[in-house]
Amino acid sequence: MEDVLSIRDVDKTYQLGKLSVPVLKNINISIKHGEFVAIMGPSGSGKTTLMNLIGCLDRPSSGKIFIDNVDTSDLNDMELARIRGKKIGFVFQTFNLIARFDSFKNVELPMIYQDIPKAQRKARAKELLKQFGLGDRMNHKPPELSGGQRQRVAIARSLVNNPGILLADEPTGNLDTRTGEEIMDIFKTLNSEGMTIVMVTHEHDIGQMCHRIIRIRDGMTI
Amino acid sequence: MKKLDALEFVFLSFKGEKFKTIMSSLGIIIGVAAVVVMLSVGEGLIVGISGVFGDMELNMVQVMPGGFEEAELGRPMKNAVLDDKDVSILEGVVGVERVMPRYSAWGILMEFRNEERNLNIQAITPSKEQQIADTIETGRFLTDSDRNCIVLGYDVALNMFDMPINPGSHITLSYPLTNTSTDFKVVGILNDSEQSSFLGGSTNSQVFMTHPAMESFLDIDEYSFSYINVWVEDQDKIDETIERMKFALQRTHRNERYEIFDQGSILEYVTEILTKVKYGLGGIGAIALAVGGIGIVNVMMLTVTERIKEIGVMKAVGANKGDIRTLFLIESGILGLVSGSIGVIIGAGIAFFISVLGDFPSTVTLPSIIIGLGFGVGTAVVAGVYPASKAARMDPVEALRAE
Repeated sequence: MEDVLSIRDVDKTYQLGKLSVPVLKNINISIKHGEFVAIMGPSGSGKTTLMNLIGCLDRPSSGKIFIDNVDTSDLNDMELARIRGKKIGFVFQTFNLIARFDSFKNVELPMIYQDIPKAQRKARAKELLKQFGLGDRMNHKPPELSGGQRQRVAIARSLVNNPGILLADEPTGNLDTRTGEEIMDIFKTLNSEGMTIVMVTHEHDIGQMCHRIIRIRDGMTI
Repeated sequence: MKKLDALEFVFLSFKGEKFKTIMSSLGIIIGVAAVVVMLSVGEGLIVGISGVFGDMELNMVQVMPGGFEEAELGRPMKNAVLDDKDVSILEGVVGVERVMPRYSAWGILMEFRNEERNLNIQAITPSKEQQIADTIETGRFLTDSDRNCIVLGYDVALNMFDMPINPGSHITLSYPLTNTSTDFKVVGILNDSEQSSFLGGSTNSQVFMTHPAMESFLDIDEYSFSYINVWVEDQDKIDETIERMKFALQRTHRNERYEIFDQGSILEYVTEILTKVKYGLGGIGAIALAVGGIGIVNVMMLTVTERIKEIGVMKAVGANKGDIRTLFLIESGILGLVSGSIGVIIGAGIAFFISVLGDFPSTVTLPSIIIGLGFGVGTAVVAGVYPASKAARMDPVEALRAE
């Protein structure tokens, strides 16, 4: 199978004044279409930085990252924004929903930036919200929803533009065990339907549910 | 991102933060209102003061002995003496339609049925004053050969004395300076004239007699005209006609002082001053607007800070710099447009109120509305540029990390 994601010789160094802080060193990862991969490691190991690089929120200091065979390391801001919007779906630990928008608008948002016609957006957002059992919560704002409901809205949002990869950064970290399991079930279902998922977690149980675990420590894969 | 979607976001944010929106728009509302009020009041002053000049006879020119300026070294000292010869000279100038020599006597006492009033009297040549002749209401106008006849203005005849004066009545005029006093017969009354001119004045409070009557009444040795009104054929050619008049008069008054005024240039001069006043007032309004603009910068900066996380989320799901910048610019632009419009309405209301109080015409002109609104939107957009670009440049990773 073709690689959806390919990371080659990636370094990431942060510049804190005169001090260079290396966060990632010589990372090489390939992820194939339909894989369910967990990235695990202690806090401060560089997991989230790696996720940000994969998600095109940040650029590597050196090395290359290919998404669908497109080298993202030398794209400009506009092109990166486009990749984030079209090819990548983000699910965050803290949900990162916009509090003043209702569930519907939150799910619609990524489609707005891709200039998708209004009618189409409406149908797609409704479809996804219903699929995740939120048909009756469309006009509720995030503060009116439970944690599990919020994360389901976030998952719906991450899927609206049919991304090639779903990136989940500790998606169950802010949820109780039972709700966490429900969310994991959703990811498993999505994966069984063919979605490539890369998930950062430090929970061993959750890592065990994935096909493959990439362990990272001190900025290096082990 | 389509503009329409951005607009929807902006309305959502206004709806969500009503109080903050109102507070930030207040600055612009007050600023725009101030600009509109100041400009309108200035404009009203111009129209009002021009109105005092009235339906001025803009093609009337006045030749007057002496001058406004003090005599300078090397300039003639002697005041010109204007007489019948000058009237003939002026009548011969190309472009001159009518020449009306006048004499004004001040501080004349008029007695009617044992009541005395202080008046000014004009001596005229009746055959040259068709304009006044046309305003006779009762009785008849003067003829050049009249000696002891006078014509009264409307107010003099009907309002000045306890009893109204009718044609045929007799009055006594006396000149306290020379202790002369003469009886006159009232032959005509003029109609109520609203018309006033800077040089002429309303005829309502005037009294007219012929030059020979004036000369014998005052009993002065060297009678000459106080001024000569000249009616010019074509107002557009007034400057050329004045030049020709000067040239014609030079022959007999070479070393004498006299002035030629035209009402248009006086009006122009006053209007010019008032226009400066108007824009000065507008400037005061602009200061108010600038303060409002600074308020918008503050509120927009606060909004950007409040929404850092939101900006991060938007970027994470595909918003680019332009999308974010547009969003904030539209937000401040709409804020400016809406509060600017409210400001215009309030400003127009205040300007109207002031015009009623100050008794001058209310003139909320289109330019003052456009200037007010334009400055309002402009200020808001300019005020939004910095916060918007700050938001657009924000690093998504940093923004997402914000709480």
